[in-house]
Amino acid sequence: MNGSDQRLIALVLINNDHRAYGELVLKYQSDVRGLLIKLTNGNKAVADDLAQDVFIRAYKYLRSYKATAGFSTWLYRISYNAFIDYTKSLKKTDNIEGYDCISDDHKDVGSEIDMQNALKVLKETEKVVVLLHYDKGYSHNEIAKMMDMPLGTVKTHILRAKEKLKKYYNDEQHR
Amino acid sequence: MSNTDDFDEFLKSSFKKTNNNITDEGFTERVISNLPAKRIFTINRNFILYLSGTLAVFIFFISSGYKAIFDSVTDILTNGFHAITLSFNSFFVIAVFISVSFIISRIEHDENLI
Repeated sequence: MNGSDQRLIALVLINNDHRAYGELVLKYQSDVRGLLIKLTNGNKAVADDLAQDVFIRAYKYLRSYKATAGFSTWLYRISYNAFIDYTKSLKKTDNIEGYDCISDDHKDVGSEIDMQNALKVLKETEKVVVLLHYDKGYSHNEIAKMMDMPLGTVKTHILRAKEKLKKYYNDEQHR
Repeated sequence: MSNTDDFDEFLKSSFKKTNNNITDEGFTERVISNLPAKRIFTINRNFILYLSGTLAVFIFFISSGYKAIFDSVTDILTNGFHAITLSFNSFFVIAVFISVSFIISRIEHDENLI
């Protein structure tokens, strides 16, 4: 986390400064929304609702943020929790449609559609772990800490996810 | 994709291609307008903890709390399995213990699982 973030966080904590928080949201919105769009299989509307929830949760609990990890890392952790809560609520309401959809904004982007389709073969937790590792560049250890999960479990999720993705791409090539 | 390293690189580059910067388009404004209202008095959490801790210790001593706790613990240890004979003090100590455990675990849960 850089000095500018620290200054903004201090302003929010001391003065409840919404303008300072707005600067933080503006800086990290692309990363958080990007991650959530991928997690929700390209459903931009759901991803934006979740991202809004993430930033509101982060504001409410900013006092519990420990500067030992980057602010974006903390936001990804909240995003993971918000996404898992959302999928649980879908299962509770027996929503058969779920969040599965490719938004109109992405219809022309071939590689993006391909990646979204590939991610559909993964379970929710596998998807999060794969995105954090391959997309955001976090190490297995960092993911384990972030998601409060044993290191071995993280490695297993990545291994399983890779096998599934490999199979998906091989099948696609032979079509 | 003959081996694992190649596939790792393939995944990394595939994700990289999809990482476009997402324009704000009013998102930040929507978040800010939905934030909880500003509190007029910002009470420091540590201040509340220290103050309530000091108060608790003070009340504990002026009300001979140590005697009540000692009697209660002895009572619980000797009559613990015969709940009918437990005194009011013992029930009170157990109730406070359960309540505090619940409150602390609730706070920790809220702060860790946001």
